[in-house]
Amino acid sequence: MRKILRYGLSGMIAAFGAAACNLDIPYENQLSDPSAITSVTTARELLASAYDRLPNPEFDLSVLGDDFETTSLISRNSDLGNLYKWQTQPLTNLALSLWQSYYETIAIANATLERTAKIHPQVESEQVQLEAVNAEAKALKAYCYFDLLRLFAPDISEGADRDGIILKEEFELGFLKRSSIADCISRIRTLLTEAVGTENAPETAYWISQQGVRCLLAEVELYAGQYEKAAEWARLVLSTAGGYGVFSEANYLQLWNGGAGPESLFSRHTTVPFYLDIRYDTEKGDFLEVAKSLADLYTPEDIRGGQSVYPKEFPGETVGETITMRCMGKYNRMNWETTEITCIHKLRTATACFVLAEACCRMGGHDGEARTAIDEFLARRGAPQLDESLSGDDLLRAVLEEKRKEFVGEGERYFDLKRYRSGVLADWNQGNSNKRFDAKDYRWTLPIPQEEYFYNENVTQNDGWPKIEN
Amino acid sequence: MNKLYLAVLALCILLLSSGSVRAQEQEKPAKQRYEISGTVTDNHGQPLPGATVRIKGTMQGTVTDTEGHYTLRGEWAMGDIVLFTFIGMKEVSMKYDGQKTLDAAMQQDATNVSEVVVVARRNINEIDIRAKSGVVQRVDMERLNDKPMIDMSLALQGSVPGLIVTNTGDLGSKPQIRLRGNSSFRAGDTANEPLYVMDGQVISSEAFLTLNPADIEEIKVLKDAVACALYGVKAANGVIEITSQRGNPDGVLKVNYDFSIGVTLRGRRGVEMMQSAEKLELERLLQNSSTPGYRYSADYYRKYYSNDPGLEEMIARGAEVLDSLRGINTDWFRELIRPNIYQKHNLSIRGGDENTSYFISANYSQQGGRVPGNDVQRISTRMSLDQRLGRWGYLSLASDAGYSVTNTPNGSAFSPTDLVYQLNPYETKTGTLVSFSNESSEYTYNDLLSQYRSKSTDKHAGVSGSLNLHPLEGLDVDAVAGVDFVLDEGLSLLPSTSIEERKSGAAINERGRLTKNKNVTTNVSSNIRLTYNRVFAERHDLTIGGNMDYYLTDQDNVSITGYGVGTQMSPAAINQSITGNRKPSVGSLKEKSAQLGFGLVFGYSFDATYDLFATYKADASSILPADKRWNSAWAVGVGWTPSRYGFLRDSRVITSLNLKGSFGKMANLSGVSSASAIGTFSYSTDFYGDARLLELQAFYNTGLKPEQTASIDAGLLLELFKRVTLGVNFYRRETSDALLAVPIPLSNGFSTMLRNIGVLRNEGYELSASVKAVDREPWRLWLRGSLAYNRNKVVDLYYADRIYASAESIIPDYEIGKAYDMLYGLESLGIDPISGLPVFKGADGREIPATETPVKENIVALGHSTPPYSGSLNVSLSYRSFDLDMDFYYVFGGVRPYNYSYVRTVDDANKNAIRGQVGDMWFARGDENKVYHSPFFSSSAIASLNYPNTMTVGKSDYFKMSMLSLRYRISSAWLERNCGGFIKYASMAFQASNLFMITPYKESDPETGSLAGTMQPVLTFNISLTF
Repeated sequence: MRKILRYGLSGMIAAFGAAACNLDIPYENQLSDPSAITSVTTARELLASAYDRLPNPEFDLSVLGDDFETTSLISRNSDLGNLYKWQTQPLTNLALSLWQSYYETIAIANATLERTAKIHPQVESEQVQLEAVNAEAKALKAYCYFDLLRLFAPDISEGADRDGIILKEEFELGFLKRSSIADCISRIRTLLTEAVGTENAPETAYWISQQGVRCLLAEVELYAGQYEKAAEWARLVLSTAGGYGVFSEANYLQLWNGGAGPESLFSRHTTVPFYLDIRYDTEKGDFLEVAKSLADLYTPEDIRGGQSVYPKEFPGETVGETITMRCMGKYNRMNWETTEITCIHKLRTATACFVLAEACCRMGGHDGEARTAIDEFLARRGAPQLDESLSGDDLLRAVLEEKRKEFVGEGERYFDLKRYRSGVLADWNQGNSNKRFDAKDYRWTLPIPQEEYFYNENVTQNDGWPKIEN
Repeated sequence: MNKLYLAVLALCILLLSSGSVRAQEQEKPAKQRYEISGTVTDNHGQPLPGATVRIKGTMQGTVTDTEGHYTLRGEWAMGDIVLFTFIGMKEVSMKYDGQKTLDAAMQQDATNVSEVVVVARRNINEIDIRAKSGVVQRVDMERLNDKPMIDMSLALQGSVPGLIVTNTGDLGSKPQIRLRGNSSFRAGDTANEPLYVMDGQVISSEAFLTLNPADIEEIKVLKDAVACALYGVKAANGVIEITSQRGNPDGVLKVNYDFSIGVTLRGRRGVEMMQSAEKLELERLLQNSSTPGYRYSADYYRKYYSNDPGLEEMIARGAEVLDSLRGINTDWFRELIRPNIYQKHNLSIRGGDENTSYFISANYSQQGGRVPGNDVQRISTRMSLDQRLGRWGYLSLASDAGYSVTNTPNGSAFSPTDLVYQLNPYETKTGTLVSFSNESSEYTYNDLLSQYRSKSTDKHAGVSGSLNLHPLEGLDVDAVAGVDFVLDEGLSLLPSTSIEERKSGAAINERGRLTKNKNVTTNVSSNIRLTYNRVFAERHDLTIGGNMDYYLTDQDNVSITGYGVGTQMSPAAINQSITGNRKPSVGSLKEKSAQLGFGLVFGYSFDATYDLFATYKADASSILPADKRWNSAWAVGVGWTPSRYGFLRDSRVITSLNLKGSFGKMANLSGVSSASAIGTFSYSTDFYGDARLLELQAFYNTGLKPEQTASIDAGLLLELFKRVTLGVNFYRRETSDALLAVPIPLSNGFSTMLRNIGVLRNEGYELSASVKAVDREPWRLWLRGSLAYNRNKVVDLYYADRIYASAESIIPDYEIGKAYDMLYGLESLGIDPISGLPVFKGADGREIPATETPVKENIVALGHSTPPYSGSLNVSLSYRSFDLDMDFYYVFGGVRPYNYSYVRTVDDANKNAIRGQVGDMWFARGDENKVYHSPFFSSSAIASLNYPNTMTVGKSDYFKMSMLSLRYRISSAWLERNCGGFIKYASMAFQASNLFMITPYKESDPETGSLAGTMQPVLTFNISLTF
């Protein structure tokens, strides 16, 4: 009896002990390295969180450019008014939010790439999907670098050896220097060249397709002054898309009515409201409206006018008075009409068309091809053809004006202004007393945020901006 | 794993071999008639009336008289156990060896433990020798039970020097508990709160919060490395060891009913607010035309109607309006802050015989808060059963369950306690409110009520089993395993009728926000300990032991937030059709971590004069990757009792002297989740396209190490004339590899990263003294006091000399050589009579106007935000059957900024202001010696006004009476006569807590710094009956 008790007790103690053995605790809703990203699905889901961090500077960049004019309501939003006037405080805030979001995207893309390197699928179809993930991660990084470079570095024409941006290539704590603009361009080119080799035609526009990568390459080469290459990539985009037929009215309308359609090469998905910053309230209207000089350019037949400008009546200051605002169309019209915005267009086939035209203009001796490209495009938009007498800088100016009409409110114009501010677009701010900055103004490059240089001694500040030491 | 099996195997072998060496049972000697007498005293040597003296296993027993004397006659045998019991005190059992007198000191010190037969050890890490070289302090449970407060943790304030309990808000909010300050750079409870262990089982701080003091036999506070090292990596912030009440192994059933009822009072007025006359005058001066004081003033009419022929008439009519307003003086403090009810019932049954004993208790307590809608209710039950396993030892089972509900209306922008300081004295409960005219001109008092409701409940249950085996002379095998489980639920409603929702602009069917969250914390503990104790040659007392423990903590949280509930406080009312930013959302978090440890202890005591204790603990935590899991903690302590020497033994001056010192190193990982050390991903509720988002949780640091805390302790305990006791403890804790989430360059994609960044030091001393001032029948007066001092310093930072939490800040959060709880700001030279703005003193002696943006050089240290000194004073006075006890608690040496939310400027002139603002504020050029700057500036526009300065902070010192108890014990003779022996013991008491507070702090509460959170006074009447 005593023996049984003794065994029983020792058994009980052993049982107590047995409970105490496991330290490898799996999480129910968390995944930890090294067993976290082991399949193509999880890699894709991680990459999705990189896409989700991509910032949407479309509105703010349009405010900086010449797409908009202020309405009387702007006095109710001093921050927006000051951004419109390029005051340093809102520019600094904008710089911080963009710098942060782009580098967040880059970090997750890096984290994805570091983990996909360890995935070795057995199935052919999974291998294909994995390659797509890798290609997209690289393209996404290149996309971020390119935007950062255009925002935070001087234009390449001001010196390719000047400080560009930080090339953050690994997911680890780094206190990195800014690479030169030339090095940045070369890194972006490498990433895109690696990505463009992967055949990738996702079902939705939410993911960067092979076509998207080509379009981005065309833009990058144009920026870098490699006009031949830019034209080559642009032609490839257009021919793959099936020629100018892609710019049909139906396809265009789809873009601005809640869808993406064939004209979109990459549209980021969104679940949060977009473009609401332009609105004061539903009763009184918007802070900003489409610049009159721009709105007047659309002919009545031009299908772009109807989508880009959204005239709306609001009660004025005195009783009975009504004011008609040239409200911004596109996303803003969708908001007014309570159409849900699910995608924000980042790369459009139209870009390729304009890159081709611009590259041809810049190459010299290719004005014909430039004019053809734009004319083909305009014909499908219902807009009049370019004046046949135009050539050289005048043709380039006309191309850029058409680009402005096409991309109003999408922030594209800001980059064109930055590139051509001392060239063909030198008189862009004539007649706008709020935007009297010359081409040498330091504010053409955004400041490196304090949150970066404060903790990173190796980073330099852009000319003209303060670097507060502590 | 191999280590584990070896340990289990070793245990089994030990157990199996032990039985055979066991000595045969002795013959029981025959019973005879004996008589013993003696005195029973409490732990301070004070006679203890009403204590029960009983021969174990029989019905023979008696009760001590008012002097603590007893005489027990009856038939028992040599070797029988004489039991001394008293409510709220540790039971003492002594072997009868034919003594004529047998004195007992209840809850006596461990140094005399050799004479006491310890029945069953519940906290199995409670090794007696640990206390000889380490700092283990007991909480006086009797005093704790005398304090009418529903929160036991708040009641602990002042009970042990160095245990700092800080109230954080209104009734029911979790207080901040720290032992000897913070040993981490990281703020917050998870990184700094002590470990709570109940009967050997780890419980969460939430579970501790809702324990019923009446169910607790003993609370020990373990402060230094020697005491804590047995608990390993979890115990770097100290340990609070709780021992629950157990059964009565003396064969007698004892039923105790304890009942308190009382009222809670309003407490301190945060700030004296203006009466109507002054408020109207202030309004006139501030010239905000939405306020009647200006709108009906002659100034107003003269300014806007200067050419109006009816000007004088207007002025006269205005004066009439003002006169009628002056006649109204609503005291909103009295209207909104109300006395409330406190009650507490406690029923416990203890009984059993020498083989089986049990304890069952049930408790209900309720305390109403200062504002209607704020209250706390608790129900708890506890059961325990101890079964003797022959000569082998004991098997114990215990279970407890508790339910606690906290309601509060505070939490939105219009919380009732804030209204006290906003509503104007000339306003009434009916009629529109000037004070909220900027929200809407229509609002009345009723619109301000029911702005927010929050209900939180804690359901707590625990089961534990323990085995205490004594298979071999000197060998103890103890094992405990248990599960503690807390479910806390929160439900909060922002009703659609609230101002915030009405103003949100949301459609009517989308108004009303409801948040519900459920959080389940499960703690699983198991601990097996082998201890071998042997006394060689009567002088060498040797203890060796080893243990293995495993603690698992699991946190599971689910929360839902939805809109469109209207005024219904139920998740079912959420409008599921809402899309956009008001769409229903679900959040969840599950975190599980475990820790496995192996420990060794060694103790040696020579002639009870020299003590040596050493312990080593190796712990592995699941938080770290497998290759970096193991951490060690070790400690060595020595004790020396010179009073045991011959020349001191008979000294009448120094009756006891003990010195001790210890050194130890421990690792700390509290509050660190695995996401900080390794890439951890979780799904968010959002999505991208058709893909879920797998989010990387944090910028992980693969080189993350646990914090290493090294602590040195030295202590002295001196007793003089058997009347005066003095205790001193010095300590220094140095934490290296201290962890902090530091900002990193944004180009890394994240803004912070948890890194091992530096070394911090935390040091201080604790003094305690007690004096038996009067000890002459029938008077007794006992005085006790304590003082604790703590200071901290950043010793080293690895990567920079300073750490700034944000890039904008000009004041570093951590700087080498500086204390890390320092409040920095500007040195004010007063308000400039010309500009009306403060002038600051520059480092170069220059006078700096407020409009200049502050620079680092001009920033000065204003003082410690955590008061470095704290302590308590206790007075115990007894006269015949009356006992008077008083506790005082004090802190000093700290500063706290005033929030000044009740100092009004032009923009918020419609709300009531602090009394005296008219005289203390600068209004016009030439106003000298003013306290408040010009009301015509918005302080947010002037950077320097956003920093505290020497004029806007106050000393947060305070001295408060935390407890008063006057008890009358009804004599047992009277009870015998009038209650026929049915009631064995009875007492009545008047008890009060938090009666008053003296403080130089001008505003609100120096402890919480908020207008809402002062601890309310409670007055109760208590009856305690034992059947």
